[in-house]
Amino acid sequence: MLVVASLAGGGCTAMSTIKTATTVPAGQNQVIGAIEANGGAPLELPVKPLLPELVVGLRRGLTDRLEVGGKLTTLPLGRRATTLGVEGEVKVQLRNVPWSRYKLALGPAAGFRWISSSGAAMQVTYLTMPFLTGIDVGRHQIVVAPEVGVQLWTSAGANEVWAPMVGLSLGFVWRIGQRFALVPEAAAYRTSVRIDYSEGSQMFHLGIGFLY
Amino acid sequence: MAMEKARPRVSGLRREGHRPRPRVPAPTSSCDNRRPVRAVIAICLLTLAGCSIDTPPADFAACGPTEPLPDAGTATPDYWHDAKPIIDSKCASCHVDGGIAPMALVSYGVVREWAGLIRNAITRKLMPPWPPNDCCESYQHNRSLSAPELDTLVRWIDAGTPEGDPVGAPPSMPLPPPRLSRVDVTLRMPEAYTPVAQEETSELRCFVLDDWPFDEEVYVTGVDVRPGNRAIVHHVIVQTIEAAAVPGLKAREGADGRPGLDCRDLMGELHVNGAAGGWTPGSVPQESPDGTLGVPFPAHSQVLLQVHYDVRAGVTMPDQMEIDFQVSRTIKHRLRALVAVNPLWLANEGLEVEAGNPDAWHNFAYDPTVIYTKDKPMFIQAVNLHMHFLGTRGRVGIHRSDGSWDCLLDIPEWDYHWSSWYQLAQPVQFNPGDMLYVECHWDNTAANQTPVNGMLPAPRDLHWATAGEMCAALALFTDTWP
Repeated sequence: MLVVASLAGGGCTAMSTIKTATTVPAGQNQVIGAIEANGGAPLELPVKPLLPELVVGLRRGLTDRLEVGGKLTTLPLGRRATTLGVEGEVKVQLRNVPWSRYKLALGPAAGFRWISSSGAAMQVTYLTMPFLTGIDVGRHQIVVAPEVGVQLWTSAGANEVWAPMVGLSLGFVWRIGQRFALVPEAAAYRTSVRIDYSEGSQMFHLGIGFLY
Repeated sequence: MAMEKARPRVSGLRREGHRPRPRVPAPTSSCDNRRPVRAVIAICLLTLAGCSIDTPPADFAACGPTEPLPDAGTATPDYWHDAKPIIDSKCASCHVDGGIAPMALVSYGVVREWAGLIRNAITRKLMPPWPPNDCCESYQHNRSLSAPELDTLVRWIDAGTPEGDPVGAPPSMPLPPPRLSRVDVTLRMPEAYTPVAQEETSELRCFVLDDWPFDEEVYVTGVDVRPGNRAIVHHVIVQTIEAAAVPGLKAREGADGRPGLDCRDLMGELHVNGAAGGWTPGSVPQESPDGTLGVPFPAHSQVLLQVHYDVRAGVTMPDQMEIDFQVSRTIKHRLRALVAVNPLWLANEGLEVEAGNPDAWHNFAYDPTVIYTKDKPMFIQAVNLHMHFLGTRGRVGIHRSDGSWDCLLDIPEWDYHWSSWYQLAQPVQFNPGDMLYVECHWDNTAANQTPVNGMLPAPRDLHWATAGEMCAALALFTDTWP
């Protein structure tokens, strides 16, 4: 169980989340926050432990089709489990036709996460490319995002491990008022990383965020 | 109260009579054996994260000043007064009728007959087999010969093995039994098994033993695992599993036409609820001296044997092992097991023993009290280091929160065939904030390969696998001071 627990809070971590398929209007800012649960495990393990984390961030529209942003992630539970993460992201609007319900955007992001538990630490550096597909439902939006990425897991005393990943996230941008939105989201990823006798690994993400 | 009785530990325990051992230079960096490009990436990231593993100082397991041998005088040692007490305490635990070694060295006639071989084995340090550096820690059942003991035996043999007069000789020590002093339960594999290499030269096979007679929780105070063919058994873990899972597992036994089932198929099934014992080459029966320490055997449980067979030298006879248990319904202190392994070692190439590298190594440190005792002290009773065939040396220690180090186990010359558990002479207190440290070294050059079917394989990169290499420190501990 030590291994499972360590992996839950270790190399397995979800990437680039709480997104819409629409860029922030040029010159405007968007504050984001979220409570997430991230984790992972070998494919064959029936128990999928998740680690809660807090997220805050800011996005800014540079043009009508381009936004940039950043997020900070943390779980401050001392020696039991502490994570610190930073992520930079860009979103490029590919399609946003006023009369169409369907929006498309690319949201590449790169990040680094430091994960410590029981005095030992791991680091995860990642690059991800979600293909954000939005379906407007009235004022709200369903966001389906196929995603590819790669993570680099490192830890002192061990060799680095590369983890190519594919996954899918599903979110719902539930607009409340003029600028506020709640974003429940779930995602699952698959990586070829074998852990002991496993054939591969899975990663999971559950979260609820807000946009303002 | 437990805290008050804990004795302070001092790095580099000094005692009289320790023989000097060659010192191994302490590594200065945990990443200096990596491939250059990878090392640059790793160093950059680790620097970013500001983390590394502290390595022990040079005197981590150093011996004190060599004590001159006491003046032996002119008296010639004899069997009854000088040789027998040493042989009884250091040899006869294995060289006894029913023991794991040949020739029972329990009578003058037999010892005299083998005296030449004994002299050769002890002067070349081949016997008694005792891999730990005695300057690191004190252990129970220490089989190593001190310098005066070695000197006495050699002088006795060189003098023609005089018998002497038993009158006035020290009373004979009671020989440790080759089996448990009391056996309450014996489980046996229902049929003999001939392993087949599934993963290069290895097979990881599981066997359900559903004859455990107790339905309530009991405690295992002694265990004796006896493989039927020690030559092919790499390790045995006696796991306890939920009884409810037994019918399903039994139904799967024999699916491939052979007894048991492939352990690798069980990876996703969490039926295991503990471990009651184990065996590695060199193991002897383990028994709590006064029955005060016990490993919980949960209620409504049975036994699942996980056996790693290694058939690189061929299979001359099948294996059918027996396990004796000594059981108690009450104990004073619960023994639990912990492991020190970097989780990243288990992922892909997280642990890599590079082909051609004469000193590949990995290390790891963490604080097990966070997980195992909820930030309360624990008391380490026994230690084990696990590597496979290419291991050369390894060590286990405690990096105290005040910066000092305590050595728990230092094996300067790794011998896979003697990868035993070592019971500490006194428990060692481990406090929250301390770090349990493990370090393993391997030689993966052509000169250090182990034969497979009589042929030396070419070196290749090895990773975490039954057929590859591993690095793990294991410890038995109690939550309370025994």
